[in-house]
Amino acid sequence: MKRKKFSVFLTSEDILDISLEIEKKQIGKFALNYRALVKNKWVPIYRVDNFHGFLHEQRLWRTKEPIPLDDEEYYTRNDVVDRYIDQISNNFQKYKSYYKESSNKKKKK
Amino acid sequence: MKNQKSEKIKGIVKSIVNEEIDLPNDAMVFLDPSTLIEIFTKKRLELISLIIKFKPKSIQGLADIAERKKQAVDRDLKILERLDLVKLEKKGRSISPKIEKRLILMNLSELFSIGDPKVKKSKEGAIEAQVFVDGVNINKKMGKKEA
Repeated sequence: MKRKKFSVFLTSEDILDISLEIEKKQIGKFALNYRALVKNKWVPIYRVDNFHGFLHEQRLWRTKEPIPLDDEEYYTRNDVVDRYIDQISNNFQKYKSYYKESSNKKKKK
Repeated sequence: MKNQKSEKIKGIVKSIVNEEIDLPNDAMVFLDPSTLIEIFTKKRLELISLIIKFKPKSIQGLADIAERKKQAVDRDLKILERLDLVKLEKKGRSISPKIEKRLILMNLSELFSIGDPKVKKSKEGAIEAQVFVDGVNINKKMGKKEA
């Protein structure tokens, strides 16, 4: 089994960290972790992975609690990874703004 | 309309899974050359090379070698530190910049052209990203002499 870990710069202030476990040209376990530079610090904002035996996401502007996801509609794990790469690439700016809003609200309280 | 970023990332993942490219672990992949240029300005690359060559013991020392203001050097170093490219070690009152990673600048499309031409043909257009990587294995893996 091969493990790969690399970081993709979506912009100079937005990074998607990708971890893959690959066996016979198929992805087994994976994690996609989106982080952004907020006030000079890299903060994790969104994560999806199956490292704990089930597919789940974490919307870290809300809570650290994992939200279980259904992957039955996909043919392979490779398709699941593709689907969440799409989701993050299309929504990362929105997620970052949610994170900023949420941390501003927490400060006001 | 398809998201170009997404298509490029999926192309890279697919190529890794299918063993068409082999990125070293902790590689930093840039989808857009403008992002690469934004981070690795000429002056920041110069700082990296001066740290390797002269091993300055302080930021002021590095600023003197680079013939730049300390404040400007400090700002650039902090940006490089955030990316784990430079480590700023506190020694008493002074801060000593260190480079702990080896950096190689590669264009991913070059990786395809070095390998099997069929791979290049089948993947043409899918990979246009630039990659800035830590490690020496890419060149060895692809049968290219190290710089």
